[in-house]
Amino acid sequence: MLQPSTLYSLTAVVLFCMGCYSLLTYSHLLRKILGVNVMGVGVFMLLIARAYAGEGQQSDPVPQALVLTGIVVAVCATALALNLAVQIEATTHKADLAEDEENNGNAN
Amino acid sequence: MEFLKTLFDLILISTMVWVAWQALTARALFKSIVLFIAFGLLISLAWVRLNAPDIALAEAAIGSGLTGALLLSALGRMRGMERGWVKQTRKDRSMKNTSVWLQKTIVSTPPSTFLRGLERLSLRILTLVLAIILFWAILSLPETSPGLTEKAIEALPNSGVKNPVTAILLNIRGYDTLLEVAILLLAAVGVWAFSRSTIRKFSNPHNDILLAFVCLILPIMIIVSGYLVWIGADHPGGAFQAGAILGSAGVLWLLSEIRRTDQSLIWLQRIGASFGLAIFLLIALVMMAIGSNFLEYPPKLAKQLILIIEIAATISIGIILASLFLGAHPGSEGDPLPVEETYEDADNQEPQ
Repeated sequence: MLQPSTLYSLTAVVLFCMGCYSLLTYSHLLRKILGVNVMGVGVFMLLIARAYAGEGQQSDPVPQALVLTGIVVAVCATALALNLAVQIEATTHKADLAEDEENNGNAN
Repeated sequence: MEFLKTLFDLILISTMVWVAWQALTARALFKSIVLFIAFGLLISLAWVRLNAPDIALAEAAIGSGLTGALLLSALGRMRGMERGWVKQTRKDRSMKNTSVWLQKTIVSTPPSTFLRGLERLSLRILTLVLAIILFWAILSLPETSPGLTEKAIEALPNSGVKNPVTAILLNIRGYDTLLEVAILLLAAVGVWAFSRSTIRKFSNPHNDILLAFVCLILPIMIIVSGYLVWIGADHPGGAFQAGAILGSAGVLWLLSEIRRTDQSLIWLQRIGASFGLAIFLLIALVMMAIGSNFLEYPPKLAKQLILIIEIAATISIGIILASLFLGAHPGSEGDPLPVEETYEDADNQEPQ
């Protein structure tokens, strides 16, 4: 039988890599923010899976406190990033990064 | 039983991964965000499975609820501005960032489909390599690690609370939490600094059902949040979960148009946002003045002090999270900024 700790640790890696891939591939800012969030969930899951000590056992509370802090900080960072994305769209009328400018010019 | 549990794990994990992949790759952004909210709920189920009810509570309220609201609101604001502008096709908008990089560094002509395919392929291979390395790293870890459980349980009687997670957050690792509250405030200040308007209007039509629902649910949410602060000393719960629920109550309040934009409320918003950090610091400094270390509480007073800090932090977190959703500058009394933007709410389907 696979240990839940190992199982969820491996899931954490899958989620992290999925988030990372979509962060690198997509250029729409909202998609990048979603990708970073999924990466964050992967990191949290790794910490919590390693803290898991088994059925009926007290899990390690220190990583749990870290993750709790992390979730709140992540939502703040997301809010700030979304605000910046909205401002970028308001200024440039594009939801992509400024690097794409000449490319979009070619496309239109 | 063991088999059933493993089966549950496998089903939960495959659902999580599938929903996350759908959320990241769905063509319509609206669909992506809705799936991301569902993903958050699944994750909180995983936290319960992994014996972390404190985090499950926070994830359900913040990870799926508030993040979802923030994402939908940002999408709505982007849509509101997009109208009337030349719409680019979705194909143009996605899958391009890295091609630009390649184009700048390798060739100066527009990227051919061959190059684009090559870069997609190389990214996939790189991600796969990363995944394999991380898999290997995790499988080579020892099965069990001693961790800090014993030390935390040892220190528990002197911390003033019985829930080890609350004890670590507010007493043993007080620094982390103090700085976290500071980061929350910083994020709110950052959002205020970038916003151009003082009042953000939600242009959805007057909605009686929403209004009735909010009148019903708002008092309950406030009571639940108070309950979570109180219960956090002994059971799962605490300032962050309670603050998240208060913040969600604030979001509902903002969406139903029973809000007012008096100057007094603006004043309250500023004070409320910094209240938690101020109380936290004040108590830490008073403790220093009477001879303890910074952020060290005498065991006899610890319970009361932690409760005061938690209540202050809950109010602050609630107000900050609601302000992050609002995204508008609270303004100053002498010089009100002009109201210039009207955003639409993202309740409509993605235009194809």
